[in-house]
Amino acid sequence: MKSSRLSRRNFVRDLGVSAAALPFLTGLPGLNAAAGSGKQRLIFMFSPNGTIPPNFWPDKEGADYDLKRILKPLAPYKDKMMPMRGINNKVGGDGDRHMRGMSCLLTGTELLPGNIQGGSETPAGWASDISIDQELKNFLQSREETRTRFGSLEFGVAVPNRADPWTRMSYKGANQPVAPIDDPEQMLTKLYGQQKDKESLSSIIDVVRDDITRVSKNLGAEDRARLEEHLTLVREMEAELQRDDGDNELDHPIPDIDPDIELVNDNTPRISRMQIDLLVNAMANDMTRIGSLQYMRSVGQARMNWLGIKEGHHGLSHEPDTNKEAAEKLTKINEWFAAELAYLTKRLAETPEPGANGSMLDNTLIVWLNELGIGNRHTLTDIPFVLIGGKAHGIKTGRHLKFQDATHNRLWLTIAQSMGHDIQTFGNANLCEGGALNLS
Amino acid sequence: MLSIATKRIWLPVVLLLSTGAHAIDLENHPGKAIYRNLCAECHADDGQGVEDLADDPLVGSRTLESLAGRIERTMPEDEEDLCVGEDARIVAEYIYHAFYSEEARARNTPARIDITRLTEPQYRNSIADLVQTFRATLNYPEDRGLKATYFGGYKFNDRKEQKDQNKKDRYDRNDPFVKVDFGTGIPSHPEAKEFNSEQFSVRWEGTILPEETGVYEFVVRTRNGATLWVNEKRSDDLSDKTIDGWVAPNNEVRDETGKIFLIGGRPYPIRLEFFTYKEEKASVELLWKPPHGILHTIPKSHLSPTWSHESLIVDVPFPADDRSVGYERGTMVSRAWYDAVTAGAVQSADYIVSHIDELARIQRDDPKRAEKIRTFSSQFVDRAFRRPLTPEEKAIFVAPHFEGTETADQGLRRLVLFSLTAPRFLYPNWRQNETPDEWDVAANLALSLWDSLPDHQLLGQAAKGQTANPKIAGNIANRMVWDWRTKAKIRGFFHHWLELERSVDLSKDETVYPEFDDAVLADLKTSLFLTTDEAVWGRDSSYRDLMLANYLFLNERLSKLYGSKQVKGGFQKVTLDPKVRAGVVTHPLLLSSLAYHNNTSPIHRGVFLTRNIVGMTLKSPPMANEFKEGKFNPNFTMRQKVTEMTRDKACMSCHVTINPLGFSLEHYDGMGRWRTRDQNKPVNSVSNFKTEEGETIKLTGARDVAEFAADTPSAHRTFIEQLFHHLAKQPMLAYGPDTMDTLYADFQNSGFKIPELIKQIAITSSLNPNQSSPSKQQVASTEP
Repeated sequence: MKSSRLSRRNFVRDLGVSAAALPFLTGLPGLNAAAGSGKQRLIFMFSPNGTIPPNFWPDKEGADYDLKRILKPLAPYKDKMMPMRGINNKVGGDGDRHMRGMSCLLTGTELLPGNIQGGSETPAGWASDISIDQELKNFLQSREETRTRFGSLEFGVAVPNRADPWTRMSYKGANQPVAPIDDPEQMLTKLYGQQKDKESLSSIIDVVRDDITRVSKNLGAEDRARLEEHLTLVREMEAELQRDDGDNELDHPIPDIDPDIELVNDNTPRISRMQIDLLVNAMANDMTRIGSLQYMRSVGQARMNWLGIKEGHHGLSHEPDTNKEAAEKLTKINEWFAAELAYLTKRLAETPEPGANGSMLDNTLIVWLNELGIGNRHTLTDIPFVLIGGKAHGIKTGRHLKFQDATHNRLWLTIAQSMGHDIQTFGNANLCEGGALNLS
Repeated sequence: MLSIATKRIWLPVVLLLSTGAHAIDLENHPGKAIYRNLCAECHADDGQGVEDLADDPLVGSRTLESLAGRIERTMPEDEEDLCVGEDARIVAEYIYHAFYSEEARARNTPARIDITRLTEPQYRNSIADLVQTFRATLNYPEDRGLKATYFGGYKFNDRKEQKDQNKKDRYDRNDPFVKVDFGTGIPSHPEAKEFNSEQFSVRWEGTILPEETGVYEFVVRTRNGATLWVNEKRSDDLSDKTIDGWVAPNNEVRDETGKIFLIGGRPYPIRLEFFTYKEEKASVELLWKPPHGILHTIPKSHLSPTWSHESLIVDVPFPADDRSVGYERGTMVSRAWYDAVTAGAVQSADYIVSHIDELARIQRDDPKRAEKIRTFSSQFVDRAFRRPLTPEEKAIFVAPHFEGTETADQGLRRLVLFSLTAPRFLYPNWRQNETPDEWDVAANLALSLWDSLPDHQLLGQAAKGQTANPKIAGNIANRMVWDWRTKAKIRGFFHHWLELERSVDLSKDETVYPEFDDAVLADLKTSLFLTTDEAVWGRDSSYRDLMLANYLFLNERLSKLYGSKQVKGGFQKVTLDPKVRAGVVTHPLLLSSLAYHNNTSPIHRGVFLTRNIVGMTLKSPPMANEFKEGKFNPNFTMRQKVTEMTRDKACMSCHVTINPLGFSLEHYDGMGRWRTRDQNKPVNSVSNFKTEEGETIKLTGARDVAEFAADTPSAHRTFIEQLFHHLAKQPMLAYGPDTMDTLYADFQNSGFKIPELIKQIAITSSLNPNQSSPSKQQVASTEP
């Protein structure tokens, strides 16, 4: 691996700059746009178990592409969207394909050997290196002008309560999976907890103050003095709470979230919308510029009763192609995911970019991910990647692109470079041959 | 930061001007007439103020000159010309000395029970125990080790279904601790025939028993998959896991770590789940690093196979409590403290709201959910405020939190925030009746014995009025004295009395004491507390044993350094030559902490013995004098160096006491080992010691000092006083001038039983009338 990295460096040096990087160095649309609004955001959305190719991939290439059923919910954003065919996860090694599909997806490198046995092949452990979202988070956090309070936020929807290579796609490094937060209340607390506490604290101060005043009358001077000191502190805090209300006004108010929503399967549609609202809200308030939204997990067994589907998702995905009923249900399931993506896109498109012209979508790149290409064959090729937005990244969407066996590592290179992070390899360096994909 | 505690509340009643030696005659002071004439109408005769005219008492920190200037400029209000020049100066002098100055206040209000806030331990314990009252009683388990269940399958199940009873591949047993290397094999057990090395799993569960309060780092050292829960309910919720090491890469040994804040002396549930699957080797070890301690396998002594319920532990950092009067007490009301209290309330509210279904016994889809939350809330406030609220108080303190909130949970959240930031919770003796009623007594008992609030049983006794009955209160206190919470508080007493904060992170010169490492230090702490536990709680033990015992608790490591014969394994009580060890003052931890890093220190040891053990007072040194090794003849023994350094007459006024006591411990080196030579000369530990009564006694060594302390009333009184202040956190004199004599007589009659003394202190400080009512008569009493 080391030698290939060297040879790649030599290659870049010999050429002066890599061919793929050239457009970014000359045209620099990404950087220009960033200079305008000051922001580039990135969101990864994951849904599991592969797709139904005939109902997903457009027939025509280029800008005049057609939308099949699964992408239909995204029709309003057809000119801002790019399905990318021919992107393959070629990371080998230990672990079954669901595991590698998930934990090698954003890391682009092998799993460590381990004790977790999948449906086939050898047992495996965690990913052996950092994932691209965390890599870019570190990059943005390292610079004053792109630093945000959280750097990245990992949202989940109906992610099962277990930590293994099927449930984690984001990694801080080898053996360091990042757990998505799939409880909207927990996320709300993380984002706005202090604010909420202040509201509650403000509401009780009067009672405390009155009680001290009432009882102090019966006390001796020294004891009264001690409570006076306490009262001074209470007043101080009250003044601060009031001042905070004025100073820290958020660009976007805290979304109204039902804090008591139960994290059960049938609430998934509501939870999904809450999480999307919170994600958009956090980004509007510039708490983070990197986000991920993980639906279930690889091998996810969601029972989409709200679509009239009683079988679990993963079970269905194993049905042979001849089972038309299963294919129909899987199409519906993927349509539902596409509709959630459409909702996310809509929220970004209709929210004006704070302090700049245009919408938040102009400065956001969304990447829709899956761990597999086709569920019943467990393929890691033709994974249904879809990009949306990306104007500020200099990525030209609004077309259907086909690649010849391009590794997904190269897509991560493109995205990293589009955000000013000039790396030439990511993950397994052998899989970066050819460099970043030209998407401009 | 505001500090009240810097006031010297024990100043003797003297009427001396601070600038000179002559007494001021307040009664005939010319300022008195002016004051009565121009000021008293609003400020009252004693300066305490008149309602609506001058609410605040006439006290402060201005100098006399400053006070006079202010009177000239601003007083009397709207008639400032009436009191200027010499008149202002004279009246200021009267006011200053009659009641304004710190000295005047100390004189006018001698030792009194202050309204104090909860100290840091009291705050943390109170919240933990408050939530505990809504759960089953938390007992301190007696059995040791962990319950272990071994499974033939990797998913905590039998590998085969148990159709064939003979083919068992699951068994239970008790393991003393968790440290096992299975190698390429299987768990060894007569019943483990059906196991194979490809896959098996083990669950260890029970209780963990930490000693100190602080952050504990837990480590699971394993080649395989493991998950650890500490102080959490049995749940598979990821967020509740202390360590999630389920995925094991490469079959290599690795450390999975997790940190958690725990209150010492309290039991917490612990569960470790372990599995191996298709891996070559299997091993697992459960370790911890206690606060200031070292990483080591959690020993059997700190584990129990009996399950305990989880506790709400507030882990926000607090500013140190004030201890300027010699013991920690809640007198420092600062912003940092208030912020910590607020953060603690927020943390508690989070916990209670997320556990409310369990705490309020709410069923799934319970139609009475909101009602049950209201009932819980009402009880919660009662217990936080340590007495049932009246209906009027409920209307003020409970109902408003539920108005204007969308859900009962939101109301609950506000209520918890309110209850735990309210003065009625934070200042436990606020509003107490002059003669304590049954609820005041219950609150005082819990505070003095447990640093906490009443438990279920005590609340029941208070509700029946039993706590206010002095006859029954003795039995109630007796039960409480033997509760584990008292044991935790008494350990805190020894930490304070023996000045063990010196031993925190103690290190020694590696060339002089290469054997003294962190592991020895950690073991010495355990050894000391085993010793004091035995002296306090052991059958037939007494204060005399604490002073005279010739045993030490030693384990294998310590016995090599301090024992006469080798001990194997864990701690045992080892009896030693009575000449070599004599009670707690000869414990190696104390001797190590009262020593230089490369030598002994007779001065540190002597001062400690004088003040804390023998009970004699010392003035501050007249001049600062640093002990510099290089100044002395290099062949001098330590005794010779100290003798030379303190030979000055000014020094000897105190060192005549300090040195003999310090020299008597010269047989112990800087890490507390017995020695016979210093600088190749025989150690001389013999001195003549002059008692406070003027009697000269010959001290030949540590045992003589110990026996002197065991037999001397001033030593007993010091012990009683220090214990009283640690428990009550109020000045002893505030409970009446006879308090010491009464306690001393009781202590003596009981044969110096420490639990009996603890009980009497708790009763005295809980039942005696509160003498803190404003004393307005002092100045008046100077009148003929």
